[in-house]
Amino acid sequence: MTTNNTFRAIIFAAVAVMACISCTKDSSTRPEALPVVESYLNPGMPIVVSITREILYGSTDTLMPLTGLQVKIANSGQTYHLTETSPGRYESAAASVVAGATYQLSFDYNSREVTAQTTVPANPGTFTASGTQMVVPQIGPGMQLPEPIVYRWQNPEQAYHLMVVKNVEANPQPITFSLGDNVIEKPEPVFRLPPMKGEQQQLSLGRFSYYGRHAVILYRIQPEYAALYEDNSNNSNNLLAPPSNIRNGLGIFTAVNAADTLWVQVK
Amino acid sequence: MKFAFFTFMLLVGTLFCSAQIKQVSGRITDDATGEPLPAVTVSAVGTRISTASNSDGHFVLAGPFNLLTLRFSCIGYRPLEQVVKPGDRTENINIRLKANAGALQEVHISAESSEPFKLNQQPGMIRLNPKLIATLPSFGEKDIFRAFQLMPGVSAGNEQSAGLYVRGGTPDQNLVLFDGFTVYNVDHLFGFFSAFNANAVKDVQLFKGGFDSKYGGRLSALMDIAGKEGNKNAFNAGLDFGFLSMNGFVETPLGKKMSALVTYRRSFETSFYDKLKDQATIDDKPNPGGRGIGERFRGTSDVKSYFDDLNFKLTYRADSGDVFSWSVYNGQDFMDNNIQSKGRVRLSGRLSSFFANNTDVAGWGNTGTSMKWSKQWNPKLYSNTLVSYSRYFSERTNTFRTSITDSAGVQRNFQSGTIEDNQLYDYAGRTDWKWMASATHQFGFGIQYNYQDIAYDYSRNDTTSLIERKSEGSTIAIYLEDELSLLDHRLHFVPGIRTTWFSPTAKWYVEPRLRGDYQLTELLKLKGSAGRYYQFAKRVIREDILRGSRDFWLLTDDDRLPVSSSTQYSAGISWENSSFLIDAEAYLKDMDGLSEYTMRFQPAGGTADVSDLFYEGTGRARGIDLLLQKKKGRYNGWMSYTLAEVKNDFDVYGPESFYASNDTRNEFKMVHTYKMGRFDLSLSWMYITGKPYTAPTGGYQVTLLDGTKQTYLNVSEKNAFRLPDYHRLDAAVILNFGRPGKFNGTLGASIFNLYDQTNIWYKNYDIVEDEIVETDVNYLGFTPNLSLSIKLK
Repeated sequence: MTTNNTFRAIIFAAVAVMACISCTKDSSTRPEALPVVESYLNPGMPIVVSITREILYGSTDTLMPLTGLQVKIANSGQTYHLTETSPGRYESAAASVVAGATYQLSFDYNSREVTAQTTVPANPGTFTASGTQMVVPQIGPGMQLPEPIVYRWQNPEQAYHLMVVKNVEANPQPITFSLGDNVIEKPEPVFRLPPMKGEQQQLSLGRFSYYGRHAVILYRIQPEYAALYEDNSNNSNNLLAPPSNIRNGLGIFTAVNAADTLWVQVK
Repeated sequence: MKFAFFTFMLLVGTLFCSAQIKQVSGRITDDATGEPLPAVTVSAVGTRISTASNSDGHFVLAGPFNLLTLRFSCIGYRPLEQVVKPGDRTENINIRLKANAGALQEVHISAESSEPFKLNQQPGMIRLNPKLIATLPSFGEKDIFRAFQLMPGVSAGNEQSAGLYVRGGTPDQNLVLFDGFTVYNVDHLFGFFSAFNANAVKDVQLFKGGFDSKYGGRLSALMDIAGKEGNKNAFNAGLDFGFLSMNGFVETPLGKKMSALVTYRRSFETSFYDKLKDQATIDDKPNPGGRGIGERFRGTSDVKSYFDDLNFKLTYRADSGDVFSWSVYNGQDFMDNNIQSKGRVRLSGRLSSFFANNTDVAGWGNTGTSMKWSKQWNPKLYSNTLVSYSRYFSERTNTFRTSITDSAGVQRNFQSGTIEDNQLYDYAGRTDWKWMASATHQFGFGIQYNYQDIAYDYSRNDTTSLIERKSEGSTIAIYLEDELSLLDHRLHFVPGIRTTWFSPTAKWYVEPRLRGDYQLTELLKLKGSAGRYYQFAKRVIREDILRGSRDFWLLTDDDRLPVSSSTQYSAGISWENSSFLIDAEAYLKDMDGLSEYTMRFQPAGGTADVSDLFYEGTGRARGIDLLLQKKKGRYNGWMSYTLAEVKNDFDVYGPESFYASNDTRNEFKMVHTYKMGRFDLSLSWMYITGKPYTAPTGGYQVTLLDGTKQTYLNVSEKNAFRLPDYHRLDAAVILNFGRPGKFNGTLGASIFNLYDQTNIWYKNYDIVEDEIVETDVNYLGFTPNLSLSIKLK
């Protein structure tokens, strides 16, 4: 009988304990949207920082600029407060961008300090090309493609370089090989070659989609920017965390240094 | 005269009493098969003195006793009491226990215990009798790992992993021994089944934590499986049929001293097998609503897949008491899912022809063997010496080659996919000794040597070798423990120490261990354990959010892959009478040197060597296991509840600690079985908090220097989300026919997920034109099953 009572008492206690502790509930709310920074420091140009907000999965938001932030840039012990010139666009004309200097960006968003840092790379120096024009051949027997143009620069430090080619015509004329079925989409009048650490790159005719004058710009860039190109596709083999050098945020805060622009004419 | 007679009798009586029994020893076997029975509780009735038989069925109980009634009890067997009087034989007593006859002999049912599990022998230990799990609901296979998942502290709701998540640990943190050799691959068919054939298993002990210093090399739990030796009295054979596999065994005596057992199991392709296989290979299926070449133009695939396993054991028992046994296990899975397809498609307005070739071949498994020599030198000294070999392999080639020719005649070739190859060899030798120094001291000591050779290659697109590791190392471990029985046998106390030399780090690792229990009253017991544990070979998870993570074994080196360690504590209380058990145990486990591999966080510029992307972290698991069990009668079963938390801390995932992927807050399980004539009815229900997961959370755009806008997807913090709670009801009806000793068997019908609950296994993400397409990948719905088992005896 005593055993029975003890047994009941224990059962009662066990059930009571279970009832008390099993009510723990986890909250797994969606995280807050993070700020997205976009800023390229360029020697001789004013500092511009654009800040938008991440679009959360499932929301119907469009790209929202973040306004009213206190954005600061610090360099060599000096702090510059940026002013908002248009929604989400913060500028400072006072701070000058100098090659070799390091800049720190900071602002508060949702009670967290968002920070980033970058160093301005040195100028790429002498930038030369093996040619200045490219002639599109007539399709037909004996057709010969022009030699690619080779671009060279010095790069003993193995820094990253990025080459961007822009068509500067107001109304660029597309290069077409009449294939009978005019369904080819119009590409953008600008293209880039992937970032690389070498000392030369070549441009073949196949890269160009338009006739006319093209600017060839060589940027010396930082690894954090090269990372944006390294794997910019979230392919289905691996969902990669987006490349970003922003602490408590997303996007890019980096510095570039461009060589003198070269020109090429496509005829 | 009368006085003289009484005086004489008194004298004789006194003499008789003074002729005390100092100790009794003997061997316990199964009455029908002659197999020795390990872990039988041998107790002296009326005292607190008790012991358990060793793996060869030997026991020794030290007195002194005046008059002794020995009680032998073991799950699956009828308890036996035997009176030993002074002058009776006290050495080499032969005890033969009769198996529970189950439904076939109804008369004794109410007194018999037909529980498949025995708890409360040691803190955190659960014993299982494989013969009795047939009554539990299943996929149609008697599965020892699935049965353990119904116990508190062992996480259920992992339909895709027969491996055990014990007290916040992961399956690779468990040491699984089969006849003394380590088994690295514990499941079949992508985790639906455990790799162990229940027909080849005699006894299983699971230590949820705090295991003794005799064992080491793992952080969390220990599962010690003893294989059957085979019938020593008569030839016997049997067959099991299910919707998935056929399973046969043959056991026979070979002369008077030898016995042999062979079991073989092989799957065959049925619609049910295909259902499980398709479930597991979900990432190879077209995603609903998905767009893209590979999906729309999938060819018809003829997937070939099977698993099989073989057990063989030969045992020789010499008159001298020496026992030699040779045990072999081989289990493997194979899958061939090659697909070829071709077609024509308008891509972005261009007409293209398309040809694709998908190679997907995988094989994985484990081979192991051990040769054991055990000897009872005298009633007090027993030794067990074995050499063993174990090989684990896991290979997968999953490549996709496409070639697209557009209307301009330009041919483009694409190649993607991965090739993985993991090979592990483990050679071991060990000798374990047990010496009963006195009624209060039992010393255990031994030495163990392991040589491991582990290689892992992971390459992408045939050409890029991402990880290429090969390492070898040896461990030498020495241990000593003392099993003390104090305070009139109220207090059992086992301090022990194990120390291991690991050659790759050239260091000694010291592991103190302690467990004990205190009998507060006849029915109430306090218990506890503490210990330190190291792990030298570990399984690393390669995180893959889109396709599900995969894992591989590696040897630690204290460089990229640190030696893992854990410190465990547990304390509990139990109340047990002949019919009921109430048990509560709290535990805490701190883990250090955990490793994970992920390619998500490559340093800027992609300058890192991807083979270095191993990250180190720590973990903490804590919880309370509660159990109420009814052990006897027509109706029996249990209810269990676990409140638990597992948190990990990996710097790479951020400064905050996060819930581990196997973290479940509440886990409630109940199992009811009822005997009705020749029928066994059973019902089990479980409710488990959803598991945490990581997911893409949103997206953003950055304008690049060339003016183009690039879209990026952001991924949540590690395990920031939780799947919906998991719950499931299973039921089974088993008809027993025939008579024991003659032709007999069972016919079973079981229903898995009776009310067709949609439980989510994981979420699959496809990225289609910068949009995330989320698909729930579900566990099995309502699934009925039939099984038939027959045997000659």
